[in-house]
Amino acid sequence: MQKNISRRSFLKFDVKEQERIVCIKPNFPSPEIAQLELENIENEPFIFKLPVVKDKAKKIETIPTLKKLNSSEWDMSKTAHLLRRISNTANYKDIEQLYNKGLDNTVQQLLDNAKNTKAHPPGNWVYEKVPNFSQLSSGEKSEIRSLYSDRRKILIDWWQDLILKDGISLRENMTLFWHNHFATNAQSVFFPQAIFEQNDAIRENCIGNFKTLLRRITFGPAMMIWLDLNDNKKNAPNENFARELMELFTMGVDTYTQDDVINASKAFTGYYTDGFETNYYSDYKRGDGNYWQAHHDHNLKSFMGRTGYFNGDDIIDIILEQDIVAEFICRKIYKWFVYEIPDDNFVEKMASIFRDNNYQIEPVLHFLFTSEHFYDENFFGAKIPDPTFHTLGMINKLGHKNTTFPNRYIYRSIQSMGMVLFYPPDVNGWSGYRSWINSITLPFRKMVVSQIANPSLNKSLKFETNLIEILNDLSKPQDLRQSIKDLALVFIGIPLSKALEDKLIDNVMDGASEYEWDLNADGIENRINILFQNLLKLPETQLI
Amino acid sequence: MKRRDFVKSLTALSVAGSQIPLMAFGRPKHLRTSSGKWNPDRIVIMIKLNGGNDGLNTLIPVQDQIYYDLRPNLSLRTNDCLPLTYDTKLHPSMKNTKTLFDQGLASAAQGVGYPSGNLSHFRSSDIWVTGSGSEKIWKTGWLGRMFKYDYPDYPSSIPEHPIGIQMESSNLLEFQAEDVNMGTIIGSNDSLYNIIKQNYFPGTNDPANDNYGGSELEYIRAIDRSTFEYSDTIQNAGNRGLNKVEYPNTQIGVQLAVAAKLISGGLKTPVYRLNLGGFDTHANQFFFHADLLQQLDDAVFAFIKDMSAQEMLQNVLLVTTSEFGRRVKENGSKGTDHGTAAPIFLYGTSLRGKILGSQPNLSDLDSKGNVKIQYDYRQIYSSIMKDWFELPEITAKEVLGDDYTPLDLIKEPSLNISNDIQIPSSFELSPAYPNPFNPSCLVKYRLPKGSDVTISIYNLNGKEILKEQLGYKNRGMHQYTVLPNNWAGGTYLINVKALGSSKTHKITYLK
Repeated sequence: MQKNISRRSFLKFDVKEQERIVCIKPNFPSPEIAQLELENIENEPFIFKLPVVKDKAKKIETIPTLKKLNSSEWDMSKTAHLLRRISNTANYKDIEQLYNKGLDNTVQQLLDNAKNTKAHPPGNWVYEKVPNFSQLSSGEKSEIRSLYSDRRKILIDWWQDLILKDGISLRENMTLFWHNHFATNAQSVFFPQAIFEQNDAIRENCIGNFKTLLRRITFGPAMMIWLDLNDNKKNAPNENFARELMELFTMGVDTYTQDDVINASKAFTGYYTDGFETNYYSDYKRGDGNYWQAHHDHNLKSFMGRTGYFNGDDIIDIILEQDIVAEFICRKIYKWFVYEIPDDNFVEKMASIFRDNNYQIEPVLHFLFTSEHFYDENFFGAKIPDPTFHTLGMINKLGHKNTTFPNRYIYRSIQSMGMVLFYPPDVNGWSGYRSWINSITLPFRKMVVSQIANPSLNKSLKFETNLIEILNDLSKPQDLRQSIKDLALVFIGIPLSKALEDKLIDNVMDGASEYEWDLNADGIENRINILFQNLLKLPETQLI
Repeated sequence: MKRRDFVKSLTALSVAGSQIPLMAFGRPKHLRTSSGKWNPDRIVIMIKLNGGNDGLNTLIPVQDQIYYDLRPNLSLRTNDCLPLTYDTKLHPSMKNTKTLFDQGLASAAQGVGYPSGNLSHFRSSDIWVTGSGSEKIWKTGWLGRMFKYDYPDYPSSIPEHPIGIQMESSNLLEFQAEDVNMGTIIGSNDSLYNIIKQNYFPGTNDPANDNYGGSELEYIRAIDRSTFEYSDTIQNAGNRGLNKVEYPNTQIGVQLAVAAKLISGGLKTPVYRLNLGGFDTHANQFFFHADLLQQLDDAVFAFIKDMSAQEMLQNVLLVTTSEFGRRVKENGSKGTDHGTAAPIFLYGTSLRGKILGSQPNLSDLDSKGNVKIQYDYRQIYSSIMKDWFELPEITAKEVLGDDYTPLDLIKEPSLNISNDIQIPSSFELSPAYPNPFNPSCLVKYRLPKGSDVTISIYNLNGKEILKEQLGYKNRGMHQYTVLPNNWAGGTYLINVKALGSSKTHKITYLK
């Protein structure tokens, strides 16, 4: 019998052995506050970067067609594949239900869920103006700093909770996709209002129009602070934002020249934020006020072969005229939902749909999720979910969604696997793919899941699991082998081999025949527990 | 540290570390490919003095008036220090190192660094572990490149024993090769080991499908098993091995005890990287630095005695490194700021037993007031590769990207080492308990023989606020109760003097 791991021994693992990444801006919002932030760094989320794994699978032939999946081919395993990739939250009943709904209705429902949605904010403080720091006493500064620090942590809990309760929906996954794309670090941004504003803008436009989204992000206070637009002035240009706009947000490396960077940064001078409000006027598509007049470079600029009195909006317009943008974004969407090694032909088709629809994101996703290519079995179980979707997804699948969670437990778990929402390690976002798994994170990924599924343990964690109920919801609860197949649909991307089924059965039955399996037998709880513990510790369970 | 505690700390070994992608398993282990060109019996233990060790207060230039002029508070009086050469004395905390120098078991090189020293901890540490110059940012570690030379097929085939083991830090840059990390982290943290054990259910060895899902499954299976198997390999070596002496119960003492036990248990890992933190002594350096050097000195000496008693000392070389030295002139907080070059120390039976280089010329400092370098740190690496591991010269050149002349430090190991290395009498001071405390805390110390004992307590400004002469105490364990009388809340230093040496610990009074 294995020994249970106590919560205490779990919490003892010290992520602080990792190399800490500090993203505090030296003089922002004032030198004194930055100093206070540094002195209190111990209380801030611990950010570290997982070692990058460059190693990739060999490219293989996948279904080359751009056709829609024939509705006659829609089956339980394809439904399960879609649901694992969309939210990783569906249990067996959910899969059954959406299988019965059919491909088109299912995809439409998922897209409708994500359209134009706003989340209830964590408090009215997200709309609170920021104080004028130069007028505060040092005591007040210190107070505000620690208040903002607490609010940044509240935002992490808030978003985790939204993801947990999002159910079978595309909304939070797409919101995370764009958060990872426009990777902005909350420690650097400092103002919780600004961080909320960015997240809110993403959620509202997560499958809407990319042009709108790009503008909201660019001229939002969080990005202005994060990539130094705030410091970009006519007499002291800062190239940080202009470069990343092209390299990371729209076109990719080697698609622009250093002259483009210099001219674009000139066009992006003169914007300003105090951490809550900005001097950007979306109606006029330019900055405004005395600051704009004083610090915007009003001279002629040449950018990507065009010349004019460009401002930031004009630069965005010119960039969006480039064909490469749609391809760049669609390649990233493909990697997020399908696989790390894209099929170029398929990506090109996604890109042309993106362009034809004036950068509406929804039609691209619709095409992707209804395509025959997406359901190629070569991709089944080829994705390693990020720590957030791995952990929160498991909680959902194990039927916990209505329980109140000790947020710190979830936070610590996800953090030990190398992720903190709102705190990407740098502007590239999280490395993803195989980097999520190494010999430190893998035992943790397994342990957290096994804790969540362990009824005797999760009482002390204030979870409630009813494993018997999960089994009773399967297609043939009295048939152990069928139950294992059904559970695999929920928890594992790869179809189980006969040998692995046998092994799981042997371990549960302890030598007895599988036909002795009886959910009403005395002591069955212990057997069920063994079944779940073994299943969830398989290397296969890391793959969706 | 008691024998019992070691057993405990070894069952407590936790293993994590490297990433082993590709199909590392399903192939017999003897297929591992090593170039076979290096000496497989040699082991190097590298100890990093984290924070930047103050070289000038380690090897003291007792003849140099400038040293005394620039360090009115921090300079060490020549009479307190331990003589090595006519112009160089050792810090008084390093009595054992002095003994080892006398027996030819220790060496040092002065002024080790690199041109245009970077004064940032992070950057300078990265330079030392990658083996680059200050102008270049390298993404791989010198040990990673060295190992890759010996195991070109890693990770397609992996050796039976971990290649590099690191303790007390999980930043594995030093072991990073181009496409794979070759380091394994172990620690005395029992939870991770248990987590690995308790969450291992390997499934089957069925060949994975020949598609993307199968490819990812192979990747995860390989990590799953290597994590598990190395944890067993290390655990087994720990169970077979033993320590023949007691080690001080300090951060570095425990690490060296674990390393000795693994070596004794037959683990063939060629490189250990250990860490001792706290050397960033910007303020009130005097006691802190003395305590750190004492910890190092005691732990290294225990290790040398242990390995010698087990007749394994000739296989082991210890090397200290530090990201930089410290500024010559002391600062306004009775500390020193970041500097450049500093001495490194080596311990073992194959050393020339001398100090290479000279005391730095303190009248010829760089623009920031730091000493100039005498040897490039890569020359040390070159010596380790060529003279210790006996790798061909070309390897060092390939690993370091240039020719760095090995230093004349390492010779053939001597096999005739007397096992009765002189043991200077030293006493042991255990950490205070409880700490932080209110109203009182207990300090325990153990005397190997009878001695007069004096206890002093200092505040952080170095002011003595209490001094008690306890008189003569017999051999054995003693305790002293700290009972503050009108102290302000905060950190204090408790200093115990006995047997001609002194030890210091931090205590924090809560009010």
